[in-house]
Amino acid sequence: MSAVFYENKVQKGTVKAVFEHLDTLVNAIDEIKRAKLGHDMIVTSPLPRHDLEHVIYKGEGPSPIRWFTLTGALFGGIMGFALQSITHLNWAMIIPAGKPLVSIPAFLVITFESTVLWGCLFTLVGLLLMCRLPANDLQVEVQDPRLSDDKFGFVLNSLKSSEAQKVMEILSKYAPLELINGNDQEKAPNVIIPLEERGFEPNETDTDMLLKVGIMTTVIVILSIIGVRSYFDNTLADQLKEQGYNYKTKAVAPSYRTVK
Amino acid sequence: MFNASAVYLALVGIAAATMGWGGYCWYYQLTHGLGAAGYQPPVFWGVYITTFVFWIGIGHAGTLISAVLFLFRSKWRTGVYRASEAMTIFGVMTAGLFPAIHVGRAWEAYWLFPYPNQRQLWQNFKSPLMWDVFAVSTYFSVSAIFFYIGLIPDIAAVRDRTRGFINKIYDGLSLGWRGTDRQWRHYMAAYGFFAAFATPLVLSVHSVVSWDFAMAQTMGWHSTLFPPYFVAGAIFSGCAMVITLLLPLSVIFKWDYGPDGKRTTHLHDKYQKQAYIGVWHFDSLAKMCLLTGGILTYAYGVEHYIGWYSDNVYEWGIFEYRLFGEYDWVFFMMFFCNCLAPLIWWKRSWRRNYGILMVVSILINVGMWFERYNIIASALAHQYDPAAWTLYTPNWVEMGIMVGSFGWFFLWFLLFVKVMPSIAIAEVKELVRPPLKSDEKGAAK
Repeated sequence: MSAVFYENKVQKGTVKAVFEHLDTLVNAIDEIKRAKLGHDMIVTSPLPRHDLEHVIYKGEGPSPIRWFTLTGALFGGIMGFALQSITHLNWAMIIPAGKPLVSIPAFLVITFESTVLWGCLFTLVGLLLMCRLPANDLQVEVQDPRLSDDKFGFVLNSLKSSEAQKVMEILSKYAPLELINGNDQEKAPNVIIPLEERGFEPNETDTDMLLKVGIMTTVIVILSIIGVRSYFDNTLADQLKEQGYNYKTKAVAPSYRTVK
Repeated sequence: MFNASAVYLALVGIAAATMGWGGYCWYYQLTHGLGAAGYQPPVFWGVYITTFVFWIGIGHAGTLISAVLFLFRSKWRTGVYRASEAMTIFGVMTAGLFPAIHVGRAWEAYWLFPYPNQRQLWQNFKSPLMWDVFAVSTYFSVSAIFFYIGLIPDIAAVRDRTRGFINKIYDGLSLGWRGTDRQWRHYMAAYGFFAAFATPLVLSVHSVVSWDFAMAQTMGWHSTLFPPYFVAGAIFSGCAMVITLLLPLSVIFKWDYGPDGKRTTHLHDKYQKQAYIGVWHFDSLAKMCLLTGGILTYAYGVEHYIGWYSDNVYEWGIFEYRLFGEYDWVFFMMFFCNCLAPLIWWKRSWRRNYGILMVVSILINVGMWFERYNIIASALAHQYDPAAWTLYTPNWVEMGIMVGSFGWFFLWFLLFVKVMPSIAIAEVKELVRPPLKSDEKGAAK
């Protein structure tokens, strides 16, 4: 079995819990928030769950992504129409059959496409900004492979020692699979833990596969091009010869390719 | 993922060899000039445009399944949408080659796009061909964004299960995704917007492609029927291609096994909805084909009726020519594959029979290629002036490039299924009831 290791490290002032059940996690978050300890909280899950969003963002409006989308769509629509109008006015040779230079029905298609394209591009930018992606500096506690499998992670940061203790008491009531207080862990050295020991079974991997496929593909493409080329040259040359043509491989255009 | 069997490598080899053959044909055309293609004046739109429209059509089902069915909260889409989206991306990538191949000087293909230049030359934005450039490039961009955004959480899951250099690649591709509450919140909002944007695109792209024809004063093309007719045809062929691609994958990877460890079949469909991709999904896809195939058959009938009812000798002439002229075999090939063959799926058990599914889905794709060939070649070969009539038949260069495009498409798809999660992991998890303590307590009582 392939071993994927991770450092189950929890920083000082941080509490990390791994939950197996969604309902216990939701109840734990609710209680932590009521105890006013959830000011710096990260909850991770392998899939989107509205239950989690409702309890974490209770009382908050929808995601501001929509403003990026609206801005992008408006920008795209205006830009698409402007591009067509300005270029047609700029280069007045484009007057097909005396129709108006700026024609709303004819310009509608590209205006629509531009609206959609820029709406999507702005939404993408908004998504990356709001999710803070690309992010290689997310704290170590959430870099736990179990959390992209079937477990839920719960990390509380910026806790004083007494607060951390209180959080530990609250969370332990909900029986998480794992509960670590960073303040306690500081005393013990970090251990690299093979995931198999935690009941986690990563898939077998063959890391040479990409290389094998890449080499195989390249060789086949090269061989097939050489093979087809030589086969074709020979057979076509013969066919043309039978018809009384002289085949010139180096000619550039078909009309000059064959010389009777 | 990752482990490559001999069968897989053989398939990659076949696809690569086919692509190599197509590549050689294109190289031949580039070096010998566009005269190497078999255009026969006045037929200057032939196999290349036929194949372009075919691949754009193939690219339709992916976004339909991923975006439109997402908005309708259709559950069967979850298992199949990732591979369908990949099919869309690769289909549009393949289609994108053909305008460049068709115009001959492929290295000047950037002239299709507006860019500031010294001569202050601009495209004619009133031309449906320009609309098509924007429609296809927008569709590709939006589909690619939608596809990649959907992949991010799953790439992150793969990252957590790999080591070394490969881990670094997936780490980069996942953008450091960790599935935090903040990330999921904005992700789901953005995903909804992407789906909402992609939905009208599904309808608009092939409508715009159809205007390439319908805006022209050519008999057999100049019809308001074309947009719905083309959109229905595109979804029809796209869904058939999804079946063609996913059925073998489902069998090879045992995605159609239920929790009892048995394959879900027509006779054993107790767990059909719990299999990743099984009879339930193929049954639903076949129903989509039945619906869109019905619309298509109706459209064939209506366009012939309009041609007859118009009392225009030129208009009706082209439809008569399609039925009884040199291209009659193309028409009847199209009619058999698109209108008659799918009717077998009205019987439930035949919609769930893997052999029948595979054969009919391939027939549909053959038929849809012939449909575009029927529209393009016959109409151009018999225009207004009988003195200009001709009989267009593709030559080996065109056919080689067309066949090579299948190699190119399948090569991308084969590489995709090996290096990326071809089933949406996070979304499949959503279908399963989450682990709840209350359930365990209830069961204990």
